Amino acid sequence: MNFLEYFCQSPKFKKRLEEMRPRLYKMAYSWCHSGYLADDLVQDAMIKAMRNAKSLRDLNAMNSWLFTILSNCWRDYLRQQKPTDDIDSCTFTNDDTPELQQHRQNITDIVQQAITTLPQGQRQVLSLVDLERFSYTEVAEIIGIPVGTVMSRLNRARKALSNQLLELKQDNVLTQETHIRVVK
Amino acid sequence: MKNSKSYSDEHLNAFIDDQLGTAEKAELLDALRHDTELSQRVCKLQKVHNLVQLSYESIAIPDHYQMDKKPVAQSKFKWVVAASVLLVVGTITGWYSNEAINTKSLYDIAEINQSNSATNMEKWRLMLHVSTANPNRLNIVLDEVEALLEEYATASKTLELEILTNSEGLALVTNNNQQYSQRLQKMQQKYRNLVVMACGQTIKRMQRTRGRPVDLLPLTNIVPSAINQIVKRQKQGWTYLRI
Repeated sequence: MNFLEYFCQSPKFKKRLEEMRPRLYKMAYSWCHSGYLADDLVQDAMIKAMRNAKSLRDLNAMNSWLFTILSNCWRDYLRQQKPTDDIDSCTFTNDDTPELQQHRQNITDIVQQAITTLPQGQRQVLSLVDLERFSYTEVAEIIGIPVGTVMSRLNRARKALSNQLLELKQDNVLTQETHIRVVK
Repeated sequence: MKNSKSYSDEHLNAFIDDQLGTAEKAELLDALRHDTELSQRVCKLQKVHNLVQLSYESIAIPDHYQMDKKPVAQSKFKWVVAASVLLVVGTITGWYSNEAINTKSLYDIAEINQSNSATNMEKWRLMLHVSTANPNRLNIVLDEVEALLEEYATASKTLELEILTNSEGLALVTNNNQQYSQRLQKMQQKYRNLVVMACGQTIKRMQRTRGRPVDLLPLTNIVPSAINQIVKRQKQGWTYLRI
């Protein structure tokens, strides 16, 4: 970034960029499920955002603009590297300990584990819609795919998660019935 | 009314994600009231949606993502640098444009070292100390002096005016510069209250360096030392302006 670009950036832009960092991190984490990698992706996206600040004409469109950059960073990363499984996160057959059993009961971990089984494309669409509440059109623009593809990917992702989380684990806490009562 | 199976999963997802139009939404809401199977399908999708949201809510954000006072400091730094740049640019611009500006008043170009508090406008004694050869300044001095002498002569007020030259200011009283010498000589002939002086020390120095006498205007008085003359006049209550 050159000297003039730095001074020409509006304080609003910088403030919004700073505010968006945690959200970008969450999104990146939902895609890669690695804190370090998410951090790298966000840093990369922030640098690119600052360098290309001039291309953002409307601050109101900054959210989708930033997530587009993040999505591009994620795509670049995937192109460069083949997906690998972290050896530390692998569960071996004989490693089933009470702690691990308790760990599996945690809803968050169960859901996140289920999400990791989804293909990258579905995972990306799902997180953009569910976490950031982007419209289908915005998601299509961010990832660069047709709206129809967004809808079908989302549908497949939710169906897969529904199968894993709601139907196959009948004994799991997730499927326990919720009774709604009126308290007077 | 459509039955449960006529609504695709994509359509139900769009309903959950608030992507349907008002009419479509109203129609589906109406169908949900009567169709239990459809309600269950929507509930499942909604549950998945909620679970995904919930699972990422608790992600620990690294400490360095928390907003601190750094942006404020950067902002201040930016303004400090901007102000410094402005100051430097202003100084440079002012420095180089100084000579180009056509100063209108003698006071604008003079350094007022002492202003006589007892200035009596009926009788004013003014010493102009010229120590520069800058053509702009010398022309302004001559313009102002002429205007001043004329004004006082017209108003029948007394003005004693001395132009003391030293250093480079000697250019005003040498015969080498026709543009000044002729004008000054005319004024001296016209106004008797105008005295032109040159510093003896400067003349000696110039003669030493050039190896020939300095050709001064005929009516130029030579004072032994400009400094002595200035001190003397200031003691006598003269107004002193250094050009």
